[in-house]
Amino acid sequence: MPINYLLPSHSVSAVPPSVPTSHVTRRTFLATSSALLASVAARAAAQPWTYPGIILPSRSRRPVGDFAPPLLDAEQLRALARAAIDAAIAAGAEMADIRVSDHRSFFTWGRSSQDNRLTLGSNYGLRVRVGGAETFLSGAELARDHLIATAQRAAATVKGLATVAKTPPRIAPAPVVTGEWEVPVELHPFDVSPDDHLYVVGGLGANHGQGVGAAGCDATVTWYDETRVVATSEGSLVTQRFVRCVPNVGFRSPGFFTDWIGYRTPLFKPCSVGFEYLLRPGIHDALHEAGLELAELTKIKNAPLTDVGRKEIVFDGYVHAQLIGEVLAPALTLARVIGEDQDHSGTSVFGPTSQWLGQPIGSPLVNLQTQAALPGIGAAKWDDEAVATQPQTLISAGRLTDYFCTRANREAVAGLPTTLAGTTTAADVQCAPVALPTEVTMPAAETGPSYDELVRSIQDGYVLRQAWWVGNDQQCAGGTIAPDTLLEVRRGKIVRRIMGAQIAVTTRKFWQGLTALGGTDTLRTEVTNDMTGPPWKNSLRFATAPAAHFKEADIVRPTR
Amino acid sequence: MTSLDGAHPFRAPCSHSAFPLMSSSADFFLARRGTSVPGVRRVLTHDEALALAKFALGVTSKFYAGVAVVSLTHQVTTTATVLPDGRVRSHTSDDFKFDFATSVGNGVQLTVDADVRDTAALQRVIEHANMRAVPSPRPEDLSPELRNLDSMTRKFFGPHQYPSCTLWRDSTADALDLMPGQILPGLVQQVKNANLSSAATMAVTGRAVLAYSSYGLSAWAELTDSEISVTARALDGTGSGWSGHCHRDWTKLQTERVVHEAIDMALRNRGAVRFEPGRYTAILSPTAVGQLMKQNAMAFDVGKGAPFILTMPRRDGRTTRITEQVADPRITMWTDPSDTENGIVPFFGDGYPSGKTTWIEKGVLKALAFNPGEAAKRLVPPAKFPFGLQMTGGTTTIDEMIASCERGIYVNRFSDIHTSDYPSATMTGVTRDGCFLIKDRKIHKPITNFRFYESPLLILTKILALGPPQRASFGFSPTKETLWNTFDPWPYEPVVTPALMVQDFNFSALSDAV
Repeated sequence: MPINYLLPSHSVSAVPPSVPTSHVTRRTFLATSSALLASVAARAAAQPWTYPGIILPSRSRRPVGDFAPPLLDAEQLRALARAAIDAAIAAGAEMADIRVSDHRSFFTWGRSSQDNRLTLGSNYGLRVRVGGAETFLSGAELARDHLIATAQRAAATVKGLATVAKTPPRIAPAPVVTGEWEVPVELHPFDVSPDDHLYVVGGLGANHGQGVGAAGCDATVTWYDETRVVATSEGSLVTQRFVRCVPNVGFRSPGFFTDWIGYRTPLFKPCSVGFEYLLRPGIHDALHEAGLELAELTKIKNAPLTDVGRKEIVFDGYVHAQLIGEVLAPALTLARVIGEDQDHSGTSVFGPTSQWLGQPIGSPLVNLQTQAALPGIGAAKWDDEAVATQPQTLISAGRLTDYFCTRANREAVAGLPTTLAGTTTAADVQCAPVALPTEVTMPAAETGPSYDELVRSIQDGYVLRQAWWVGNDQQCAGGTIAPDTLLEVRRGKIVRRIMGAQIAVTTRKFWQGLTALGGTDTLRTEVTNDMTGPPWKNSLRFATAPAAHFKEADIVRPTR
Repeated sequence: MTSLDGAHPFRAPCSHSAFPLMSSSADFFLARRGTSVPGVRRVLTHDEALALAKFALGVTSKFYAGVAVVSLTHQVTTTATVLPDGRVRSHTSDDFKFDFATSVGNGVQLTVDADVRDTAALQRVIEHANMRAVPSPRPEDLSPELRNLDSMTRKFFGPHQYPSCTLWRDSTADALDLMPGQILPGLVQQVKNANLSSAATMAVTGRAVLAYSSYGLSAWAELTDSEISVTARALDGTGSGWSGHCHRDWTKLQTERVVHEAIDMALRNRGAVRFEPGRYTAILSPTAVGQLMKQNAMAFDVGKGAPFILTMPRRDGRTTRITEQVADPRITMWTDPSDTENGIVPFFGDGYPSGKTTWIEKGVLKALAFNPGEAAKRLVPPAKFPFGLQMTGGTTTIDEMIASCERGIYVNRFSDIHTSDYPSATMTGVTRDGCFLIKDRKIHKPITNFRFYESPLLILTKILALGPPQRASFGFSPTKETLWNTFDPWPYEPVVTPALMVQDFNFSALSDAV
């Protein structure tokens, strides 16, 4: 299968790059943040020996899809979904919906031919309601007889529960929809051979930056291909085919663990695209320039934190997006606000709704929206309750205007905007759908300043480029940030890199202090992790945000 | 009996005669799924798992004569949640993971989460995965280096002895079907009677794990677990209480105690007032101690380059702190797979055995967590992370600790603990669901939550009193292990810890969270 890779000759070789494979960069772990990658790391750690066969060169040019053809096609998935819904209703359920999925993923690590990884599967999640009771059954056995029996069992269970859950059914009405939708791609990643994946991803990671002082460039790419059917007892039946790319291409500086500087290039971000995304012209030149930027960063001297307290600060797009994804977005889920999650992840500082809806929770520059449009990673025509996706504004000019909600909990609160926006998703169909979209976005200021201009605006403060992790608390009342590269700025100039600091923010106040939003060139997309259950499985979600200047954040020294 | 072929209309029929063992056990297994039959086990048995693994290796052997490794996990979990407005939700998940790796070509590692208990599907995916195989080298074609690697591989994936463990309880496995219908109604009523915004969760699970290789490895474990957790909140949102209990045998869950404790804690915690942050004597519940110690497991890790206080190279040339006094002499910490109540799966994910390990004995560091490869290099026994561990305690009750405290803070549990400084193992998090000021030897008043920065290892050096150890209940709040970004879904491995009274606990800042 000939492919014009559009690759400059200097950047790739026919064999995987001969860089050491014993180190995984911290950023690779933290940024990709997938259980998949973690499992690779765990495997690498648990098996420091190697298999005899692994070092043999690969010789296959067969497409990845040949090794993992879909187990079920779309029509088969639809037939199974309809059978389960019909069986649940016939067994006495008042309402039922089901998500059925056939999915594959392929992971390539550009440094190693050992750690490409193929996953395939098919599974379902069936939800059945009677009165105020709800039962969700999930599994991976997509056989018609089994699904029918499962639906009958679910109906029997939920009827029993309804006798003690004596609350009326409250489901927001949604239009009945049918149809199909798919992500358009020029070159499907599963039509590309594993060797070509390695060739291209390895090319992205090959030696860029080494000549300019970086310890190496790492590239991993995970492709997801899924056909998902959603059916409801009201008659909705939708089929969507998703193709998603989660790339992580970045550099790290030389040094020992805590001294590393991670640097990711914005050339690659999670999105719904085909393999052509990795073959764009000019990428390798841009990567080389990114390496030069890291080289400049590595020249900055390290120093311990001496000046704790509240300081003005600029977050780059990655940190800002991560903070939104880990703290602000979960706080706006109705499940937290009305206490549905109080025995699990917790509640929200933005409750009750009557107190906060319409109130200012950020500066007038703050807007927060959902995004389900192409080429976003969360692009979809319908959500996992078969509700059409549409733009939803959660925060408008700093005021709280809406919450993320499901059809069920939308009806539990009076006075909310009545339009369902299609933001209910199940990252894995074996999890019940939750009211969190795949991606939230804080739009950039159209004529906003560049990152450098934001840094120059700091009189006495810090700029934070990327974070190890961002934590929240049981009410998303605050966030803590473990900085990756925290730089002290005096009169608009970076003077040193600060080691051993942490940053704490208070949700209700922090975005009130947002004084400037960066322009569109500062937008970055960051992955966040969501373990909403049950069952508790790690789900990747994404947030996009521009760099921003904040009036103050608490700079703390954790070891004192 | 449902036939194997008839069970799945979309897959090609398979020849039972070619796989007689698979055929019989799979038919047996398929026959009892779909409808739950009381008293019939819903989780894969050892024989059934072995049959699947042997079948997979049988297909693989057509392509390759070297090592092939199968990892198989089957887990059935039922969860029931009562929501504050009285709605009830139950979830039942049936997760089947089949993971196999062959050392062929580039060694595409294949994970299948489809239902490959259907032999036709299993055969198909394995054959597809092996289509890219290059001819496997004969031993005489291997270089000396590769022959040595092959010898190591045979050692690691060969037969091993495992500690015996008894982690399975039939009563819990039975509850997978019984719980939603028979147990939940009583729980709902108790929660409703509390007249608080109460939410409760009960979950039971059964899990089977098999690691099997063509070189003779055969590791098997089966476990059950169960937990109840109740969060009660004041209707005006000014107070919150929580309690939980977990046990491998669900009939031993103390549901009434848990409901009562959560409600009591919420009522007493209403109207919390702000209190100056700082270093205070802290009385930490067994759950709070368990949360810290669980997160602290990574501090025992060697071989991944994390510069933890226990594993950092020393100036005197020693590479770890083994044999050094690192904790109060009253502290002993160990992991024992064979422990009847609090044992763990006695092998790593790939099947390499991990036996009883004493981490700290009378305050002296005795062992660290080495994976098999690192252990072989250092000539020490391998040991898994102490995510499941037990800790010695004392006899001082929490009431007695309070009665001996002039000024301090009681902490019921924490939320969202992260490691914030790896060299010192300093952690951060927020107190949650019960935080009280102790003054003049008694509970004085509820106070708002704090963010803390503290190292569990340092806590172990400033202990004032220890309570009786008990298995810590972590509830259903998701946890993240941040260093390696692993995610730790329920159920958690048992952590047995006492309540601790420690001095100078660093409550660093006020938190807005209730």
